[in-house]
Amino acid sequence: MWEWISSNGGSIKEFLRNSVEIAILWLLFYQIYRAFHATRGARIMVGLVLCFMVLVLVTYFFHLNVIGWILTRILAPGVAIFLVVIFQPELRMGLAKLGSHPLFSNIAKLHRVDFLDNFCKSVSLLSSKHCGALFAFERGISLKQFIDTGVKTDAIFSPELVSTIFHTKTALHDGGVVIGSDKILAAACLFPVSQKELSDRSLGLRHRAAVGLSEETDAVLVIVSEETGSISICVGGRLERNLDGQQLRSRLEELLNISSNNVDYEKVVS
Amino acid sequence: MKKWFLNNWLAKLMCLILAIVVWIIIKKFVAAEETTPRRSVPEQDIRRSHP
Repeated sequence: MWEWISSNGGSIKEFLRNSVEIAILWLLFYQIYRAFHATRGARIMVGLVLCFMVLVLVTYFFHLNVIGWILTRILAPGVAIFLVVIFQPELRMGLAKLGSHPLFSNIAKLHRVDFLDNFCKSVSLLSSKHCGALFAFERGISLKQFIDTGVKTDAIFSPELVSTIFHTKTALHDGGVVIGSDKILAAACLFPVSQKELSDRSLGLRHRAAVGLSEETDAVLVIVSEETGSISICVGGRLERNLDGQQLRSRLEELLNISSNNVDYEKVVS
Repeated sequence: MKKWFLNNWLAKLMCLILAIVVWIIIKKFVAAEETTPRRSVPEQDIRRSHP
């Protein structure tokens, strides 16, 4: 096959051009497979593609010119339209994903502001209930080694989910939650406990774990005290204690580089 | 890189085979269309043989 590919071109330049063409096709097919392999329409697509391939092969080997003409001029565009109709929900989802890519920063920022609103609401709720909680925001340095110590969730963030995780009668309430790309990546994770002397001896293991992780990584940690319900932030081994909802929000905006001021809501919504 | 190749390797291999097959078929179709004689060629032949 490789011989045919290379001999078909004749020169190295032609061979390289053919290889690039095949590589592009390969990437295209693999991305299509990744996008659709677990969807309802996947089997329909496989069936359609198989039928089309068989027809093309039969037409080619038996020189069926009329069928070939119909295939290339009528059926191929028809199949393309048919695929768009079948995969309409998946295409919508894919385009929505593309729109939320950081390249299209305004929409992505709007989503992040939404996330921050949800997060601050959740922390305030936990604080009012005196429910202890520990969150670690992943930034430049990967927290994979700590994620592996917990239970991977990869869940969309919601106040209800967070309340459930940190409820004292659930299996995941011990340990910390790791948040990355505005998702809950894992719960019940074990963080390294700091060995340094903390000024306030009343600070518990949760605060020590937050200090320990922030010493080792560039993560931003948010702690809700079980005893007092106070909210703290820990970055670079430094604790900022007794923050209210607004202070927490503005500090997180700053640390996670989420600027609500830069988002033109009306422009984005319209 | 190695990890990326090993991850889901069967799907990647199948996609590569499909890409090569599709590429060959399309290339042959394109080549066949390019070598099909145009209408003017036989007309010129006739004119040449019957001046």
